[in-house]
Amino acid sequence: MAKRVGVDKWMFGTVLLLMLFGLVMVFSASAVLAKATLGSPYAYVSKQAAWALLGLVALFILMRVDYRKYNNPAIIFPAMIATAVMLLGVFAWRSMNGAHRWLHLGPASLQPSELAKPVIVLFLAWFLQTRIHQIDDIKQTILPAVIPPLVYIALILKEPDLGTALVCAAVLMLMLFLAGLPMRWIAVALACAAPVMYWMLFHVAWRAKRMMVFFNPEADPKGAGFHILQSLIAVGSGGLYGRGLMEGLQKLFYLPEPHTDFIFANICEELGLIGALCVVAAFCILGYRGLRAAFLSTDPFARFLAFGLTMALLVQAFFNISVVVALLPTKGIPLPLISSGGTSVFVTLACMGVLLNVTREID
Amino acid sequence: MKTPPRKTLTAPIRRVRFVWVAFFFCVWAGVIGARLTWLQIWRHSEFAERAEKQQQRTFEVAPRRGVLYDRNLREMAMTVLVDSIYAVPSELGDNKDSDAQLLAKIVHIDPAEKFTSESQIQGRLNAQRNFAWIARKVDADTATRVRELNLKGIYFQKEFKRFYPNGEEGAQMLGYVGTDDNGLGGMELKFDEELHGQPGHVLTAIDAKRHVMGSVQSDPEPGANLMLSIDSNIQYMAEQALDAQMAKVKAAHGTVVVQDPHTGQILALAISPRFNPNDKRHMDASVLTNLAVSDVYEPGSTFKLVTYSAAVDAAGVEPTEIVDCQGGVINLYGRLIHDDKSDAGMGRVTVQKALEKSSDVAAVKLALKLGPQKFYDYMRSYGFGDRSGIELPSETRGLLQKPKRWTATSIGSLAIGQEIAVTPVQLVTMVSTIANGGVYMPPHVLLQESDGMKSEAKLQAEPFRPTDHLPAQLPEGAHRVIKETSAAKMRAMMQGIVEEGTGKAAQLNGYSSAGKTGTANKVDPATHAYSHTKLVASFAGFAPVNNPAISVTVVIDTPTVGSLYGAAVSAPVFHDVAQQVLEYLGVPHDQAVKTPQQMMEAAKTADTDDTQDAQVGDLNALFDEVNSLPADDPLRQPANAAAMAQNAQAAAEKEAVAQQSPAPKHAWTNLPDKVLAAFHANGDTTSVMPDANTREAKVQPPDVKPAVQAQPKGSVYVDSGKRVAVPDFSGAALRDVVEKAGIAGLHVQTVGSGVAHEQAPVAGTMVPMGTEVVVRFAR
Repeated sequence: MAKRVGVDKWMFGTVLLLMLFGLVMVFSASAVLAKATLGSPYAYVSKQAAWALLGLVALFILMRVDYRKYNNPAIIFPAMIATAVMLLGVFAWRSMNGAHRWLHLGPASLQPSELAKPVIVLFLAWFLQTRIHQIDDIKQTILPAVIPPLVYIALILKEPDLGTALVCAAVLMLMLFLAGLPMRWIAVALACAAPVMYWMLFHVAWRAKRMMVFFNPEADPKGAGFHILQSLIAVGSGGLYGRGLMEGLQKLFYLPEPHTDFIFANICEELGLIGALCVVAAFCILGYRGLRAAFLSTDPFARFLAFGLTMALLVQAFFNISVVVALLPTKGIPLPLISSGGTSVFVTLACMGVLLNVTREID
Repeated sequence: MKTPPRKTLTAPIRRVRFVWVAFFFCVWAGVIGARLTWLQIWRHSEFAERAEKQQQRTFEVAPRRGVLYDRNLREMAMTVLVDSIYAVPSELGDNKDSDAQLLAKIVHIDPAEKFTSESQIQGRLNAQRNFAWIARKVDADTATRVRELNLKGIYFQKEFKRFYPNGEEGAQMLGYVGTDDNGLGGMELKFDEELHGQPGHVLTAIDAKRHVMGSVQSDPEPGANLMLSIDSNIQYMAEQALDAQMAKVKAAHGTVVVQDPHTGQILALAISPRFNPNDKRHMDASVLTNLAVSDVYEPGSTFKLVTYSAAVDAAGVEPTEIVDCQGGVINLYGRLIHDDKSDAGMGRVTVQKALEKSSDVAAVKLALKLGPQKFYDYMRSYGFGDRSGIELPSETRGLLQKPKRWTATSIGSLAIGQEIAVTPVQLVTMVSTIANGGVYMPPHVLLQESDGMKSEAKLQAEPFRPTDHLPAQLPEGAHRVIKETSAAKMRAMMQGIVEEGTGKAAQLNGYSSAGKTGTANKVDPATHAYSHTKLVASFAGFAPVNNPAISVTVVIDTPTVGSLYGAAVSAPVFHDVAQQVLEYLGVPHDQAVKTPQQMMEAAKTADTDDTQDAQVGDLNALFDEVNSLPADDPLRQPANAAAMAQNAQAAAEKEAVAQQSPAPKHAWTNLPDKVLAAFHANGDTTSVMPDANTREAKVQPPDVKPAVQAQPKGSVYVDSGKRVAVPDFSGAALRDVVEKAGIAGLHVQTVGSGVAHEQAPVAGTMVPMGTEVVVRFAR
């Protein structure tokens, strides 16, 4: 019996705090870069603020929309088709920095891969809620559950956006795991993924280089090892207390993408270990509240939905942080709620709106 | 309320899988936390260093070096902005060679200097693409001429340059700086850290397109300004007087130190020869040493002041006491110490007379009376054998052995200023101790320090005003050496030296003065024996006697022309310096002022009276009679000395008689024969005590004019009816003003700096001699 109580205040507060903190850090990290390249130090942060505002509106709306409304093929299938079209559509535009990631629509640019994550979660939640008792049935469950996400993942890989593809794959895997997929299937999945991963990592020259410098950044400090080394210097030089907000020096073109993929390095440098651990703790709180909602939820759809959305957020956050501190090889992937990136912050806030709606029914 | 409609279709999710997922993320978070701690705490210093290293593509912004001021806040060393010229060779195109030729014609001023030669400039233009120096820190004229060429790709950059506005003035004391503004000598070296300031940093980051991003991270912090106790005018006077004498006697080098006896502050520290700190390329390494603190010499007879004052203070010796000079020779444990030839035959005389005539025998006897330890303690108390702590680099202790390391005859040597080496600053501080009433005041040359821009504290000019008392709160290191009464007796005796003895050349016009001459033999490095041609002539004194305003030490090393002795070489410098400085300071006269004619007449009389004056050409023969020769002169025949010793008594009696007529005022000439006999029997001074009245008469200060003394300092003192016309000072530099005024017999009070703009009274006004003229300077 679910009682109608308010949304999870811990989750709500943490999301808002992270978003506001993100705006501050985006400004800190991008001001110099923006001034140099776009003429105004506010160029990035104002754009980010606009998207965050839109995301906030979406969050407040979705927070009030009953999640059960999505438990409906009439919504899920059109969403899946629209996403697939958009993922194909990115190839219509010329590549930027060697990648097709955006749909450029007038002043705004959309990143469909960001949209793919919640759509995969939605699809799996809808599909798996009725298949738990026959989870190891290949024809009835596993193939139908896995094929649509794999199509998305393949399209995202083609962009190429290895980071987001990996996050999608991890979400897929975690949801199947929760649904009770036997461990042997998981082992099979990993065994299948391994050669693909190997090919992806080492047959593309620049990725191979990145892999090498991941194991030894000093091998090529001015070339391929530059990014990771600069990230480590930013993190390490921050020390316990950091240089102080806005005082970071590594963002002055030493750090790659100081306001997006490597914003956490800037946080480490400016706010020190204390600030960095606070950010990690904030994501842990979100993760805990999300898992708690999924665990306590009596509705299987709600359970999978909450779990999937939480996983998508948490995996991406930890993935990003692990790259910055060189626990994982460099993959371009934003830190959710914090990194600069319009689609990312908008979609993440919207997802949080849905998740918060689920928490309404948790005691 | 909603009932689960499809309960039959759902199997329960295994809760253990939640736990596994939660566990997985907990581990991941833990690994991240550990990794962060490892990077940010453990390896923080390593990464911080690396960050700094790569951010040091950043360049430093040089701080402005602090100013060295004299006590009137006139700049002695300052930092000015000058132009440096550089080129961006890539903008010169094909004109590199012709431009190099054009530029070298203008900037290559000094042929000895290689950096700006045409071939060097050409080489740099061809070697670099983005930046090449043409010439560093050029003068304004050169910069203007280069600007007028209007060449493409030639730019100007402001750089700091150390500038010494007074050129050579006080060069060894101020020191100089190297190319990167680091102090290399004198105050510049001693206070390099304070003067230098903190450099600022401009961070530059270079992106993939080699665009340089600049952001000023920290502004440079200018160095602290220092105010010296030096008075630039007094410094100038001391240097002029010293230079003039150096030119006359052709000595190796000379030092004049002027000190405020009541505070220990150094007012002038003149060394000759000097160097020009503005012209680093032509510096002669041999003249860089600050001889006043880094060079030691055997003081010789000037050191007898220590012997005598210690004896007066500790052994109860009175100036009027009789001491037997034994005909000018004394046998000390087999070693014969002689008085100067001219004093041969000096027998029983007063202590006063013995000092006036610089008797070695008497000094040895007084030292023996004190005993080694006491004598040593006085020497140490006067500051000998230890660094004074003056704010100058490479100060030496001098040489002074402990009594236990003395040989049997050391005490005799020390008594006459041998076996000890002192610095001129130690010597002047000793004289100041006697002048100020017996308190050792540690010498200082630093007066104030400001923290540059850090604090708002501004330096305040502290013009030197002579006082007549010691500070109420004695500074650290100050201590009493001799009793006030002992100091008074010493002052009177030292005045006697100038009036009656070896120091007549130090007599001033209108002021009483006191001091002691000295001539020491340098040790010949070849023979390790005292040389009798290489001498160090010194004079240490103060004026006026009753209330000393300044102490002055003059040390001239190895004079080669004319008389080589302190009385003839150094005493006149004392006269020149003290006379000018006292007039400049507006110290009231304590004696009648003589007109130039009177001075001439006095000099003539002095001549006929067998005394000397500085203005009388070659004084060699005259001074030989009154000055001490080195006791160890190897030319002296022992046989001769022995004969003199045998005749000592007879000679003494003869002198006593001879002295009667020219100096009837001396009480000792009237001593009864039996007292004299007793004195001879003892061979000592203790048993003889002149009568009290005479003694008192002797230590009484010289006559002063109370009305004059009572006048406030700096006021006009009309000392004669003679009137002079005020010269026109307009447009003249300070030193010219002081000179002109000195010639006219006027005092000058200066306001501001630069060149003379206004004066009061106006030029041509007839005023009494000694009137103070106020001159306002402006730039």
